[in-house]
Amino acid sequence: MSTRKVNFRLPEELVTHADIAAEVTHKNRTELLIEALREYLKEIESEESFQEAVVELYLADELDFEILQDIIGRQDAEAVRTSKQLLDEGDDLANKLADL
Amino acid sequence: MLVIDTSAFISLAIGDVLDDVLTEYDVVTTTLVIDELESTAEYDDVHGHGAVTVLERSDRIKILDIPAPDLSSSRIDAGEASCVAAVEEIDAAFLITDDFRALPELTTLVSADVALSPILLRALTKRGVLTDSEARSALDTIARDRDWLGAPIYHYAQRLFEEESGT
Repeated sequence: MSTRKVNFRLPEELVTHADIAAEVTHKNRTELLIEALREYLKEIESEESFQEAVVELYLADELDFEILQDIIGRQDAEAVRTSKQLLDEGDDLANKLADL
Repeated sequence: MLVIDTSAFISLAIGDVLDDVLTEYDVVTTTLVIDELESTAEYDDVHGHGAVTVLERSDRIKILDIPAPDLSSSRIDAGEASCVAAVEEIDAAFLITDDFRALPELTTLVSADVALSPILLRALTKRGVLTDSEARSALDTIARDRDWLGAPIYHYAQRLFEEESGT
C-alpha cells in the first residue's frame, strides 16, 4: 500500500494520550493514528446517512465511480450508476413513454 | 403496454398517481407480482398501504400467469423475473421498476426499455395529466419512504422536472 505524507496539527492532550496508548500497545504514533482513523472511517462509512451523502456526491458528479464503489460496495454502486444513466436519459425515455 | 413490477406499483400508489397511470396506459403485470403485493399488504406501514391500494385496482390491471424464469441472480426476485418474461411474452414497450438494486441486471435482460417511476411521472406531465409541481410532490412523497439508496436517487430524479420549469 502506498503512503502519502500529510501534515496536520493535533491538540496537545490528544498527542499525549496517543503516545501513551502507543507505548502500551507497542506501536509507534503513526501506526496508532492509522489504526484509529481506519476504525473511525469504517464506523462512519457504515452509517446509512453517510452512504446516502456519498451517493448524492456521485450523482452530483463530485465523486468518481471507483470511490463510490469502495465506500458503498460494488453492487449498490452499480445500482446507483445505472439509475443515474437512466435518469440522465429520462427526458428521452419520457418522450417515448408519453407517445405510447 | 407497460409491465410494472412490485416496487414501481408501490411507489406509484404512495405518490398517489396510480389512477392516472391506469387511465393513461394499458398496464400488465404477473400473478407473482400480485402475490408479492398481497404479502406486502399484510404490513401496517406505508408500503403495506401502497400494496393495498394497488390490489384494490387489480381489475384495471392485466395479470399474466407466467412463471419466473431461472435467472440465477440474487438481485432479481421471482416477481421481477416473471416481469422479464411478461415483457417478452407480450412484446411490451417498457418495464417500469423502482428496484434500484435489480436495475443493472434488468436492463441487460429485457429487450424493451426499462424506466423508473420518476420517468413515468415525467411522461404524465408531458401528456398534461400532471403538472410539474404535482409530479415533484409525488416524488418527494415517494423518496421519503425509501431506504438510504432510494432517497438520493429520487432526489436526483427531481432534476427531470426542475430543468423544464426552470426552478
